[in-house]
Amino acid sequence: MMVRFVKTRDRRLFDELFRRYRNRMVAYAGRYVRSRPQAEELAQEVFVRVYTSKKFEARATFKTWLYRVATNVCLNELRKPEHKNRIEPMENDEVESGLGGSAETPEGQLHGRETSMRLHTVLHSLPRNQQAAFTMARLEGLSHAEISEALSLSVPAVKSAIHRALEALRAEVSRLSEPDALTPETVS
Amino acid sequence: MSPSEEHHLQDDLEAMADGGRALSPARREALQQHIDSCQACQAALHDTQAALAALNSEDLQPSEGFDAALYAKLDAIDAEQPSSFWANFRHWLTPPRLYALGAVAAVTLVVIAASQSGGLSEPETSAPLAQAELLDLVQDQQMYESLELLRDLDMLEDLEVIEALDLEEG
Repeated sequence: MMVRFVKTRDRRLFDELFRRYRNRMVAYAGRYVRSRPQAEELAQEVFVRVYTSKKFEARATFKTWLYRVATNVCLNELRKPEHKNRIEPMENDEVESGLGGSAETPEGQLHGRETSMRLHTVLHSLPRNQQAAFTMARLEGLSHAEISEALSLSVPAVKSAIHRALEALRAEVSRLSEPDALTPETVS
Repeated sequence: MSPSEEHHLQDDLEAMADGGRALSPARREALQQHIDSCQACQAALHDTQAALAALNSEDLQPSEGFDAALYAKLDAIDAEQPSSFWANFRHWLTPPRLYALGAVAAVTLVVIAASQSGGLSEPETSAPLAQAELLDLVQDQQMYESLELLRDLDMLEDLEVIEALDLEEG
């Protein structure tokens, strides 16, 4: 369909692609910037790039090509200085992290949000390939083969990137599990 | 445990963090038995599950104005690009259409060439063409005759030269 759209510029074809992927792209961008207005802005940028694209090679699937475009858009956004050290909690953050503190108590919810923010900070500090591969695999449910195509990496390289990302996150969880890891000063 | 076995165990522990759906039932059962008896693997599995749970927020959904905002941007892009005749023609001229146009042009050229050589001419138009050819032949014949005359003249001149020589010698 994308091949036909690039050839004909028929907006009905674009409408169909947009309808299929709009929710997915807003959610994906939200995993990087964690703010609805920013996520929508980035998702729109992705679709503008689709709309103005002059060529599309049919050997790639549209889905993996779209994720490649979206990953570039999101990671380029995160490079901007205003995003440095600025991980905001989201209202829909999972607060039941299993790291002590029940989600049913205000303290437990705060603990869960803080854990989530810390882990997002770690995730965003990782190399681009690790961050993108982990997000696509563990949070978006893409297969290793799809991620391999989207990031132009071999499947073993994708597995390695996901594994390294998970190791870094696990180390942070382990650190947070230690007594007094989240002091009242850090949970503010 | 060898580094290779440890690596596989790490991969499988990560799969177990998702519930082990990607593992075979036999492998899942064997791994579960190992985890039950290994504190290090229990801790690794717990930390992996905790990390995934903490990162796995619900999907953001587009707000109501999302579509309108995007289409306003697309309209602005379209408005910036003047829709000239040639731009439209370029878009219209897709490869299949280009091949079809080429085929039509080729057929037209063949028909013109054939009609000029008389191959596809109608009977009533063949007479004037035949006359023209005949005229050409007559003209050619005249030229050949002129050439022969010239050759004969040359021969006469040669004879005259020979005669003159003979007279001088005689």
